[in-house]
Amino acid sequence: MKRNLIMSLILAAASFLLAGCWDKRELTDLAIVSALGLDITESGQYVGTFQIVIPSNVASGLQGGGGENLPIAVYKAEADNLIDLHGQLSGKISRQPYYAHTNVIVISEKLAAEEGIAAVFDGIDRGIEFRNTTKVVIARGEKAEMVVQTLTGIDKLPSEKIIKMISLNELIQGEHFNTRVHDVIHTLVSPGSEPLISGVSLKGSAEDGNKQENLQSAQLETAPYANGMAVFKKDKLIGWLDDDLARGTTWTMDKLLSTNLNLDWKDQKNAIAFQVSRQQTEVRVDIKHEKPVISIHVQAEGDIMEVKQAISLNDPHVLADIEKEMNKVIEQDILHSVQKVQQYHADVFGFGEAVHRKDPTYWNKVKKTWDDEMFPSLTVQVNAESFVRRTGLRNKSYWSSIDS
Amino acid sequence: MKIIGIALLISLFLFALIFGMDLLLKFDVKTSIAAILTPIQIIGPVEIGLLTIFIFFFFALPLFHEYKKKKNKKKPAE
Amino acid sequence: MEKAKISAFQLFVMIALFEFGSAILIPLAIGAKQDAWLSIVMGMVGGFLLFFIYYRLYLYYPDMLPTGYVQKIIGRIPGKMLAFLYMIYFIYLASRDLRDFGAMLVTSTYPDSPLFVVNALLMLLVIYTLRFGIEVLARTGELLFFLFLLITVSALVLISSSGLIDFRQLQPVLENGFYAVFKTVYMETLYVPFGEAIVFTMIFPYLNERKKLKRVYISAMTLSGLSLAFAMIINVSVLGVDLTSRSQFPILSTIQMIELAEFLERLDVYFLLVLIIGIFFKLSLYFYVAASGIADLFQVKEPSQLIYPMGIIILLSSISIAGSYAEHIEEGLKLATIYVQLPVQVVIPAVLLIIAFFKNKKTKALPA
Repeated sequence: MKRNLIMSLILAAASFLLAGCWDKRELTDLAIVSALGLDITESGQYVGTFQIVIPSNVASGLQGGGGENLPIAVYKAEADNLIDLHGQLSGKISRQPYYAHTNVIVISEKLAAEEGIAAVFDGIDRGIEFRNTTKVVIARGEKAEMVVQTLTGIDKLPSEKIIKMISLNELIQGEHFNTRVHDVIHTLVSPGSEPLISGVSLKGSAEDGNKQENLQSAQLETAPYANGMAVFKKDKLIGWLDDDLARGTTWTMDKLLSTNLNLDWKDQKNAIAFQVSRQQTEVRVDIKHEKPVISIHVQAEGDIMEVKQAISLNDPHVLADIEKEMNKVIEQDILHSVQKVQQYHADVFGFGEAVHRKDPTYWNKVKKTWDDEMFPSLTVQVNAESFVRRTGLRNKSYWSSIDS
Repeated sequence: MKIIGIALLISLFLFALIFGMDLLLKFDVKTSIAAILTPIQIIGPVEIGLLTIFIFFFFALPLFHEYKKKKNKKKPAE
Repeated sequence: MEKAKISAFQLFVMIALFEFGSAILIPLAIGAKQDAWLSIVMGMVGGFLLFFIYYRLYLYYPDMLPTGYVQKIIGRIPGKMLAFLYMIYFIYLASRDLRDFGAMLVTSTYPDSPLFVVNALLMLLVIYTLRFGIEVLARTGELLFFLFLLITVSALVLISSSGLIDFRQLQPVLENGFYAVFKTVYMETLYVPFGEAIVFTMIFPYLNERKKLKRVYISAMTLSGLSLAFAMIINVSVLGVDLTSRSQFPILSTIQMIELAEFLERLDVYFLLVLIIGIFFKLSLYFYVAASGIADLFQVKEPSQLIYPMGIIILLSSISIAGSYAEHIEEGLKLATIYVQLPVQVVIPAVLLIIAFFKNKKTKALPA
């Protein structure tokens, strides 16, 4: 009798070990959402497009035997908020959507420009499944739905492709960078800075992107590509920065990893190609006569990769001249993008934050008028110092032998 | 301390030599100074970390050695 | 002075690897165009002449480091100062070699790696080796020498059997006259790499068989000098004068040309080993000599204590020695040779020898 009592007590105690199983979810019951697209209808309702991974097909794709089965399934739902979208989805899908592996959130240009992005992020920020490191992109000139459902070639998962594409550009050219949910929220709440988010567009016909046939040609008919950086004011999209303007912006924000610059030399356009491999940018604020003056100091170093005429690259004095020219190019680049952004009245650089850090009392005086009065009329000085470190495997170019 | 002193003396002369070579190359004084400093300025976090560790040991190793020697000297006296 | 002994063969290996060191890497004597090899051979002969200056000095004071005997020759304080400047010179050359190493790796193989990290890795290795003194370095040399030979010979076999060599590219010989060649000798090859062997005056006293010194030195110099000349012949006859003179690292460009049996190609990384071994050696020797010299001058009881701080100094100066690789080469082959190497390797030792000659004559004349 006593023995039985002890046994049953032990058994009862053992059930405590199962406490963590209350929230159990089996892998076979989960639908892993890899990307989430958000659009808005005319009547102001959100349209969510869920890109769901089909794990077995992705795996077979990696082993080289795939290609017949699609790696993703796409579901769509319409509702007033994110949680409702999740609910609406339940009637259409057999497994529970799971967001912990969501790589990217695609927001349509229309939603960003008309409705604003602030309303979207609370659910994501608050929810336990979404990571704050999820990347955000804007579907430029396209519905988010189309971007989310387009199949891609090398990377089986379209969401992966979008993120990797942007990071590669960040690494090589510096005209885009990935913005995380965290960055968006941080820049939204901070009065002296505004969000800046990469844009993604589709080439080819958007409707055909979700079909298997799209993958059958060597040059994909429909494919996403990175296209500009979206400038926000408060939470509304107000304009775009493209190419050099975008690069000047990443440069000012000290986010540039490497880039290529072209340089004119002796009346020849773009005669020298210079690759910046490292840079360091400092933004300094001085407050003079009750007006902030921003000085941007850039130090960049890199290699000369290509020349189109006879230049004695083995002469340090010639390199010094090239450096001087390059300083001008960099200064121009940065100044142009600063002026462009000033026209948007949106302080994406975080100059306001810099003023705040420098002089909080002054900041409190100008905080209200910062975006529309102070920032657009800021005096900005750019000072670049560049250094040619190497010239590749050759010193002089063969041009010197041809020309002589 | 002696070791650190010697090392600092060496670096003084060495960098004077490097600076002199830049001047000989007909760069002006400002460029020559920049040429010495900038390669150590534009560096990433990994390098800053490494550099800090190196410089820390630059001072720490000789001092530690001296401390150990003093301790060893005391022992036989006991 | 460290209580160490090295054998004749070890000295031979050290001299050979040292001479090969960074000289194989750079377009040496390319000012002489297709006659660069001739300039190298003549530089080698000049190196022998310099050796006899160093050797005479050594015979006067066979048991002393040069840091010691300059004090005997020109007096204690001036001697110490001069010796200290010599040590700075060795450290400077060590930094130059470290930079050569880093620039080579970063330019050819690791374009995105920071120079500082690449240099730091080699420096740490050298620091580790040198803490154990000259004997360990000498034994490392013996070991690496055979690997070095193996790779060099295989490179030669591969290049010649790829059918790349076209000796006609070496003609016409002496196109611009003898003076053009001679100019590169006294401007360049006499000092880099042959005169740089002045560093071995600090090693001579460690040799266990003194009689063999002359023979070992001359044979090692001949081996490395002829190999360097031969390497230049190969470079020019494979790449042509134009491409050789435009290459930062002609030897690498030559090796990249190898295409044999459809699979022996893109071998650059394999041959980088040779260059790394050579530079490791040259750098270690400069560094060791500088450290032992400084220890001798300042009477530091444990020279190994100096290794780490000096290593860090060499590392830092290797980074800031020049803004660009072009500047580095310009300084090394045009400026340093005339303004630094010429006085340090030729003029001062010659003057020292003359003074030593008269001093010793005097003492010998006096009754003992």
